[in-house]
Amino acid sequence: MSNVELQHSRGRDFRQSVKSVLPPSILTIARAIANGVQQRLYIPSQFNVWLLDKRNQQASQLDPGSSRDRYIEALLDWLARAQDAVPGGGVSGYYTFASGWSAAYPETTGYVITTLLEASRRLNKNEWATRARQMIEWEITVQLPDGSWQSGFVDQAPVPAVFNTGQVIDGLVAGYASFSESRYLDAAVKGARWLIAQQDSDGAWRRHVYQNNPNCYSARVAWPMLMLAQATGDGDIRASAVRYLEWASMCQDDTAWFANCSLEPGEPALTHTIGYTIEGFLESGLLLKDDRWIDVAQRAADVLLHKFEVRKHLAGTYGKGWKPDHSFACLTGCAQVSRVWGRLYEMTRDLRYLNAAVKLNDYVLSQVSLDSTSPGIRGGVTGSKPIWGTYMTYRLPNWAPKFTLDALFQEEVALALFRRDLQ
Amino acid sequence: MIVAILCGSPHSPYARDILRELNVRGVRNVHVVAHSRSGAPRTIMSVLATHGFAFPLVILRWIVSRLGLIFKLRSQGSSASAGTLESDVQAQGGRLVALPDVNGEQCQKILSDLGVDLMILGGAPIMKAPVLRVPKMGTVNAHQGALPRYRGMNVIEWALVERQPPTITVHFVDPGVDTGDIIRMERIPVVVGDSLQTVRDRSSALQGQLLAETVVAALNGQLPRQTQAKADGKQFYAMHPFLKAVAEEHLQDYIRRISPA
Repeated sequence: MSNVELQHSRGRDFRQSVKSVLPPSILTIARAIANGVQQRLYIPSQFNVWLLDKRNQQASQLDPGSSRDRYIEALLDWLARAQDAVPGGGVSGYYTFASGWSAAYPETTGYVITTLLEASRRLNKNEWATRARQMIEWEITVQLPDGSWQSGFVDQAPVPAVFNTGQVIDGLVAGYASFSESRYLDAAVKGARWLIAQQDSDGAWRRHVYQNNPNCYSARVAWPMLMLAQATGDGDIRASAVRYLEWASMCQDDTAWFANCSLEPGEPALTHTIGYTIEGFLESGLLLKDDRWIDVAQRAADVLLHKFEVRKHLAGTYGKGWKPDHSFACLTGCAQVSRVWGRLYEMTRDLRYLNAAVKLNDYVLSQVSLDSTSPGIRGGVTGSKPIWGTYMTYRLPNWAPKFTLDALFQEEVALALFRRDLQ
Repeated sequence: MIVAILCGSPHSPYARDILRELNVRGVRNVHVVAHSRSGAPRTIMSVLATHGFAFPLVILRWIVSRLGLIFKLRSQGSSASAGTLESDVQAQGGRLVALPDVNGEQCQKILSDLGVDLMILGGAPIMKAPVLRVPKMGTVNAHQGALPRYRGMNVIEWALVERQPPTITVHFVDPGVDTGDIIRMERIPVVVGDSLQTVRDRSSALQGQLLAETVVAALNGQLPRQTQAKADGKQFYAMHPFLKAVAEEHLQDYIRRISPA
């Protein structure tokens, strides 16, 4: 036994002897206090988030249309602060209770670009386009020589990643559409060429994916590839995306459940990755004008709609057969699913989609603080509700406001259509 | 013929309405099986384990909700005729049985022991097949929407949003949501000055009448049955307030259309 192992063993013995002496309730309290200190719950603004979740604050009914503007502004301001928190133009991955802002995250900075450009157009504010441009320039500087983008934060050792590359392509294509800068498209094409090179003949990506396990949520890689193919007319990129969709669609079973949809193989899938999958299929289907992919998305979206309406809560994860875990909600996933329902309303004019989308947006927004004194909390969206839920525990990721903004923009579109149809 | 009403609470005003309408039409000895939920925290320790230091708040909330329920029932009792559902049931020769789970085996046994021929749903939860199989002639329900088009919740509002007249459907109950065979349909009368709430209240009263008429028709012979396919309609869910406001506007438009100038 090595010295280290011996020390560990002595530590274990000591902990066990303490456990045997102290009653379980004292240990529970001690653990809670230690956790509170680690998560810096002694900071009043952070304690307040914890307290509200502890009191199980219910979603308030927010009047769509009149009060959304304040939230949109607050969510955008949070993203701006996340960008300013790190050098270079990228966006901090998340704000954590324990240690504040993280380093920049290439993957999610990628799709934040798309949202900021949309915000700039809708709100007619150049500031958001300027910030998006800074993000694009940063993404180009962190592109790896082989054309890919790395997984994880920019301060970590660069490991090329399929999914992350797809999300940066998303932002670059949106950037090209806004600024007509060919460099953006060139970088995106280089990324797509790398993606094609990693793809297996059956369409799946098995290399440079988490634990080398192919997943179906890379439908959200196929979608930006198809946007890029549309912008460039590149048939190879289009064919690669379709090949992947064909493989991923086989992951869906008769109940509309997707196998290989979770971050950890065999584990239940977060609504976040389910949202990626549905969104990827839906948007790909719309771009390709192919009902096969729209049908894959709609079947799963319909299951979630029924589950949400019956339970009045979207579970944080769903397992095989849509077995839910309602111990927490994954707010990012909620926003993604809401956007999908908004899109489906746009396509079908089935009011049940709009009804559910607005309710889910109400829920997500009711968790957003507009007046917190903490710049990391004000206008941010927590990973989980409650904050100690298993997804992004005690963290506010940058992709949560991004997807919430996307959902709110889609709600605007859907409500405008609804009002027009009423007349 | 033995008739039973299955309802969501031993104090259900809707079940009382149905019972009254049945009695008026000479149908007596009607039994009532009610879902009875205590809702009380099981033990202080379980509350403490679940909610930690927030447990006094949880206990307080539970006490307030109980007080609210008592107040609501008392105010309902004072506005309606004197007595309770239990006294009404006993007065016409029936039994009131309260159960924690109306979908459970105990409920099947009680319905079977009572020899129920026809069961009426009076605001009960969604029923499962084993219980529905017990009454020999089946189970009937009055639904506040035109079937098969409007299944599920808030269907008066959903119909109005889609500019359709509010309608009640009396139907047999199967394990699906409002998918059983249709017996009859009736428009809900709408008058000047109505709001969504008054239409809902009127619907509730009319549902009791229609169910009682259905029982009388069953006593006199076979009930008509029009099958509906699952694909013929949609299931609707609780409506968001912004859509309810649209339903209210459409109701006023509808009143203007049907009212003489």
